[in-house]
Amino acid sequence: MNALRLLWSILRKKPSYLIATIILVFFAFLAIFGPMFYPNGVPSNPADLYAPPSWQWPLGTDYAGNSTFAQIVIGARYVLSVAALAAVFTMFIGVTLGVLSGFFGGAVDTVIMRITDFILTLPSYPLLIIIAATVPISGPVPMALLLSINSWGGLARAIRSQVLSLKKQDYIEAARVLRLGSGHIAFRQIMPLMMPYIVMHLILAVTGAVYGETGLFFLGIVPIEATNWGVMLNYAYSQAGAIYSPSSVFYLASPLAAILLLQLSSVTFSDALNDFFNPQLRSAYAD
Amino acid sequence: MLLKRIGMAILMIWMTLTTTFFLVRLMPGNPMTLKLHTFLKQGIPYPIAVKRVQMLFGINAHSPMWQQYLSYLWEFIRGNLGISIQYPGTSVLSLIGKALPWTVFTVGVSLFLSFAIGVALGTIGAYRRNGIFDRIMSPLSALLNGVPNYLTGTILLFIFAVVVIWFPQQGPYGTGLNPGFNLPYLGSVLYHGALPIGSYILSQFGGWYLLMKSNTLSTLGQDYISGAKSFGIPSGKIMQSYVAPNAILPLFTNLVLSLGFMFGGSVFVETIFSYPGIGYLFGTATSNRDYPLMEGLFALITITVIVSNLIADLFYLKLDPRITLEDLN
Amino acid sequence: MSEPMLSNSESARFASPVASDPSVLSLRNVSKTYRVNKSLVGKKKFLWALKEVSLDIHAGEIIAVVGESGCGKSTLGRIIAGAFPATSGEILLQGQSLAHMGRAEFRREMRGIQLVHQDPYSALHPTKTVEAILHDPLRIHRMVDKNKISSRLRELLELVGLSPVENFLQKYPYQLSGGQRQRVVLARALTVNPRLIVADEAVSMIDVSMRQTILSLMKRLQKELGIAYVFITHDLALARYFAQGYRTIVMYAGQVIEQGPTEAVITDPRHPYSAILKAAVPRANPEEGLFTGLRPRTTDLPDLTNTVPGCRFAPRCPFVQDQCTHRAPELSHYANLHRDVACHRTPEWPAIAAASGESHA
Repeated sequence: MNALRLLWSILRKKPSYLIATIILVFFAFLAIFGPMFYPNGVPSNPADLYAPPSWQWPLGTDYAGNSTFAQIVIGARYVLSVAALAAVFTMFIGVTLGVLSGFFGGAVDTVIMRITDFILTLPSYPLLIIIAATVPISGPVPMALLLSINSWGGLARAIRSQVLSLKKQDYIEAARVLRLGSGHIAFRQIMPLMMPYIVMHLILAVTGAVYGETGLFFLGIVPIEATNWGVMLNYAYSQAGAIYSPSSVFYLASPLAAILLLQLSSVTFSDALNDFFNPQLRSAYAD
Repeated sequence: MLLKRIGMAILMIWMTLTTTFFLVRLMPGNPMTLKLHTFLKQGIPYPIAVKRVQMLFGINAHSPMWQQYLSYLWEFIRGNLGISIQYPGTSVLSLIGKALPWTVFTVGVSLFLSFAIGVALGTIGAYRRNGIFDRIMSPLSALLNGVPNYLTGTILLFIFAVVVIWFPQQGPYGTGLNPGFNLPYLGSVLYHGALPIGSYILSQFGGWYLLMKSNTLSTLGQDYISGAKSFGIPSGKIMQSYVAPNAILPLFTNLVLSLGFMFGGSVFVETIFSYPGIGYLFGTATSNRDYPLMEGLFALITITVIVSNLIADLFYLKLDPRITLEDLN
Repeated sequence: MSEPMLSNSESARFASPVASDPSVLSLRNVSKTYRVNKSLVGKKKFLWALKEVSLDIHAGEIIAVVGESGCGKSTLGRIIAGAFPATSGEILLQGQSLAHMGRAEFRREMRGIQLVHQDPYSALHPTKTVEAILHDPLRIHRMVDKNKISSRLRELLELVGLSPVENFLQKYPYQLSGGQRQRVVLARALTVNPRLIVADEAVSMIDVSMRQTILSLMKRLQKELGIAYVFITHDLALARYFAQGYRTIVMYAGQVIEQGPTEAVITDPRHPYSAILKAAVPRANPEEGLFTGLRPRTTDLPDLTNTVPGCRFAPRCPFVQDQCTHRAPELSHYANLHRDVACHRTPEWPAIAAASGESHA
């Protein structure tokens, strides 16, 4: 595959890209296989509270003697699967509405853009909080749906403006004159040209969703249903004032570090993708 | 056109109120029914329980939905946002009134500081692009620019109020102080506000840095800048009167916009530092399912965003002679 | 270059005389206007990109449309191709009004008119191969049986001179030269068996050395397939070459100001604007001077709004009279000249031209 080789040559040229990719692959690995390493749940020793890192407890223990490392590993699945689902929902809503709005224009455009403006106006965290407080949220799918409720606005706008500029291209006019049909033109001719943009945003949407869900768990607004990084933060903050004791540093820092690492590598990886999709930058790597 | 703009803002506010109203009423676990059942379980007779619920929410739970809706809107216009459940007998409006100054203070100061820091550093970064300064600042900004303030807040709290105890962990000012215009009180307010403000700045200035850097870079690429250079105008002068105004101008819209969004983001920072602003109030209202308070706060935060949107548009119009209201639509 | 014979079905389709059809396409008083000031205060102002143009295009005919940029010739071409609708007026396809067609019928009939853009670099979808570009219309319109799509698209590529076909099927547009791209554009238009092709400056962005082959290809398509052309160009020499023996239309400020047989209109123009266009063609012999004497009085852009009375060309016209600024001339037929001209002074033209030093040789 030509594309894979190009991607590899881009990753190889910049160490930061390569490291970011490795970290992302590692997180994906954790999300898929993590819970399998701990078939009996999180190992714990109630006599060993706030233990410092050791061979037995690689990242120490929490307020109840549970292994921090195991919680990070097991928690990755819930965090990342919800985030991935939410990102896919976000993309689906944002791209569909953006394409419809930009392509058909007129009343469709006006209605969709008014709704988008409105969604963008609603402050995102308060909205999530107020919905989470009213609607019982349980399970990854409702959680992902909740997170995607107001995350698609910016994307829909960006896609719309791309469609508007692509629509003016001669080859799109030619397709219209050939009467190839709106569906074909919108989804088979215009949409493929926006794929790079969509893929890059998919990755950034994942981090956005990670922030959103950990934030909700952190505030303790959604019911706690699985081990995940947000719940860890919540416990670190709320359980017996763990945050106010310096000995809890590893319990507190582990989920923080996991989240920040995920964000940093996502941003870096999306830069790498930008190089990959940008033909001008691409030629710099092709040799 | 101006009227249309204002009309749009009013329409948005109406949509917000409508959304909150129906969201809270139509969802399972309708708060009014819940409250009614609580009263009934406490052995309060039905008619009295209904009366009490009506008092709490400012609405008669047994009238048809459209009537409830209209009276909700009417009461909102009159400034009656209902009565808090967690602080019985206190009106939502007065609770908000007490909390608002703290949020305005912290959010305002941090917005100003992060903007100033981001713009200053962004200009340096643009002039020395690919230098060591920018090579550190750009990735750092990219990392910090999306990080939510609950992470920066937790980190700052842990480092500066737990590990090294330089700053207080919570509260708006020290105990035993006399609120008013006196030095110890004002000093304490600043001292207590430092960490919340720091949290906002840490998660905000990166965005300003990146925006300012790219704006300055694109301004520097303009022909009129090369023109000015070729006339021998000193570079400091070019920076001051040619580059800076054109690079900063577009940022003002974002500045006003982020004011509204920071109000929304205050939930986390104020909860972490137990800082009694509207975000903290929103957090406690949610934990206690204090629906009238939640609705009131949500409406307030959203209206802040809508109004700052409007101001941003008008601001832009005033600052940039080329923009007409038509372009904004 | 191999020139394959036409398949039987094609020659049958195109050979049949269209005697019953009055014309492939007719425009009746077609206008295109845009609103210019959208503010709530002040009067509504309209910009007339095209003003009351009437035109009949017959099967297999070539009509050259000439005029400066902004004269409305591209707007006319796009309305003919149905890229966007006209604001007012009637459009007839084979004598049948577009307004009375259902969606399906409209779609089927309108695809008989195709558009070839000026810039072959932007006329092809950048991420599709040549094969995919031709495959889509063949498949979507079921132009041929599914299993014959591949042989049909090879046939088309050979027809436009892209052979051996294997070298081109999997190519992306950026791997082709301008001339090759324009051939692909033509092949794409041919997928739907068009009756009429609107060629909007179709060769002006192609390297001069390649123009001739593209133009002869287009001519061959006209002769062999009976395709009519609306050939839009700003270049009088090109118009004269391509529409030789057919018609030429001169446009100014959204209106047709002169139309008639190509040779007559281009060599012996009767409208002052056409005459200036002719005078602006550089002469081959530098000793005679680069241009002849006729010049416009001003180079200001014409006013396309409907606020000024009189002839739209009056501000520039070297022969302007009082009546020109009060009353707009109609496009009238002059049987002795075999053409239509929209100018008050057409009857006295020989005298005017002689006085201005414009020879009629």
